Amino acid sequence: MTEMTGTDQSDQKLVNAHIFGFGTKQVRRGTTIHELLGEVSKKLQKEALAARINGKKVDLTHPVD
Amino acid sequence: MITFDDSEGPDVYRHTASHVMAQAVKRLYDARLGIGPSIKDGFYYDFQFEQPLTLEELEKIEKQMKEIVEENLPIQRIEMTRDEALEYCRQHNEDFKYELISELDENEQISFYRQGEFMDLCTGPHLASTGQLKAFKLLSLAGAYWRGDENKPMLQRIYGTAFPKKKMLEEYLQRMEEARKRDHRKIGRELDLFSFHDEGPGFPFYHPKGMVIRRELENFWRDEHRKAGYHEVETPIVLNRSLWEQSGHWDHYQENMYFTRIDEQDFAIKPMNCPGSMLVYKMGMHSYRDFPLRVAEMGLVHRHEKSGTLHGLMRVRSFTQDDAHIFMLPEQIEDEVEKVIDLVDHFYQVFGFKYHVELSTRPEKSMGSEAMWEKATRALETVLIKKEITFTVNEGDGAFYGPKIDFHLEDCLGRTWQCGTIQLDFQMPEKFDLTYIGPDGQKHRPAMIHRVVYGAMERFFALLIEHYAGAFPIWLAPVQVVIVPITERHQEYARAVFQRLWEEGIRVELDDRNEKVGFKIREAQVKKVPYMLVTGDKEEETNTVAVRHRQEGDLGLSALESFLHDLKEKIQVKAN
Repeated sequence: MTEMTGTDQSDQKLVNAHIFGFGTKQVRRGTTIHELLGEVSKKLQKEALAARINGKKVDLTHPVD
Repeated sequence: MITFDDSEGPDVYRHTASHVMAQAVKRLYDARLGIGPSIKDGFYYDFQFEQPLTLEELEKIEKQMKEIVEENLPIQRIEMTRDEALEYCRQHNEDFKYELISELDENEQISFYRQGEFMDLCTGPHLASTGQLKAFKLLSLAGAYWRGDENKPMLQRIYGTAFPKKKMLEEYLQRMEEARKRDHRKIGRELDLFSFHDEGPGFPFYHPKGMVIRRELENFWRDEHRKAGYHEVETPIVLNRSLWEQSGHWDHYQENMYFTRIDEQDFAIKPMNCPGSMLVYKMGMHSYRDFPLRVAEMGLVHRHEKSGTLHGLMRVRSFTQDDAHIFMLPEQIEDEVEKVIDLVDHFYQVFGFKYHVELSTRPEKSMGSEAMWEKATRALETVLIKKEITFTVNEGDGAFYGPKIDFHLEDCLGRTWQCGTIQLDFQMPEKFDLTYIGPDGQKHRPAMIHRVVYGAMERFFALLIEHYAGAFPIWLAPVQVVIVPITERHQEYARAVFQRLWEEGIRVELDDRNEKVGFKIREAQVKKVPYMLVTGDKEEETNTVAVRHRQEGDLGLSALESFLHDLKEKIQVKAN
């Protein structure tokens, strides 16, 4: 299973999100995981049911922050 | 990301399906919510209805679920304080949820999930919207006590399943249909093998035909264990409290035990065979020269299981374990484990079972030193590697008294069942102060293996029924041959054939009813009798039989002695 990690950035509006197997993407804080996946891979966005952030299971509507 | 292919994916998907089902139920009925988790292969939800639900109504609920899916309602997570959550449940008369929340810590943040007008207590996660649910089916209805407690209200449980593709659902339903046809409870009734009665819930009654199979399994077991150097013992079913205190069962296993009083003293019905076997060991002095000492017991045990968990012969309250305890020197562990693996493999091959192996290591709560665990676990691992057996490791899943190797059988539908186990036991030799005299003339503690091959006879029997769909191989078939005379005038010859087979120990029946041959053959086929011998004029004149096999159909004429010879050979080699 792939896992995503959120990394804080000095710029308060942006955050680095690393999706295992898909690399790192810089997104606006508050972007939902579902939106983030749409930017990374439409297929993954369609297939994803939920996610893990730093080990914790969360909904796709969960914001990256 | 968690997709359906990940181990946690189906859980997320089906949990959302259970919420959609609960929403549909709430739209259609006056019902209170119990709990609704995902389970292996599906989900369920418990409800308390004003009027009991019938099976026919599942279709209506399913239709409502489809509407909810079409509405594509966003699923939102909402967090509340405990007081807010309690107030919400109070306002909505959700008494069962209220009870669950009231047991949580006062400061706990409580999550709910909302979709449209429906909201449910849940930790999540869930799908983003109801529209993501693609293929689902409600399967059955059952009664379930609130929190599994028979003193609490009886709720109605609706079972269902869900898949992301229609094809996956169809394949699953096909497999389930096949499983239903093979259900051991159904076949057990049809073939008159066993029964259960209200007078003894969870206590199986073996019928004559079931007893034949049971005895054949036991005979095979005894033969193979004798060849493998085991000695058989039998220990009592009822034993004094003091023994169970010494073994630790009195303190740690009491809720699963049955008790009685004799001469004003407490006694317990044995839930396990080990303590009795320890007493047998302690009856004599043992030398290192006696080892390994392999002591087997086909022991009847009783364990209390909650009524809701009982399931045919698969989960019962009294069952026979094909136990054995092997006492040995520590340096003999690897050899003995290897021998037990060979024995288990031989048994499973005879029945045509594939299996996989799991090695379970030290759990958090365990007894014995780190060094002892390390040595024992390495011993089990070494044997598995040496024998080139592929295995998975279950970290921390060993028994508290030692590491173990479990054998999981795969049945014809791809389902797996844990049956055989080899467990190193550090606890019993200590608790019962078992000793042997070593080459140094001093007392030492023996190593001990606790193992089963079949596991529970009842469960293995159920597995065999489903594996063979009731068409047992000839050596196990309760009736091996049915003789079918064509008319009344052929009965004398049929009786002579019957007599000849009977004398040779064949389980044979003579169907001399005044019915047509075709009818009798059909009936024997339904009963899955391996061979039908039709006898008429030609057969009588030539001392032959017309042989028909339940699967292969008509096999033509055969001389009686030739048929008998072949039959005995098939039984002897346990042909499938």
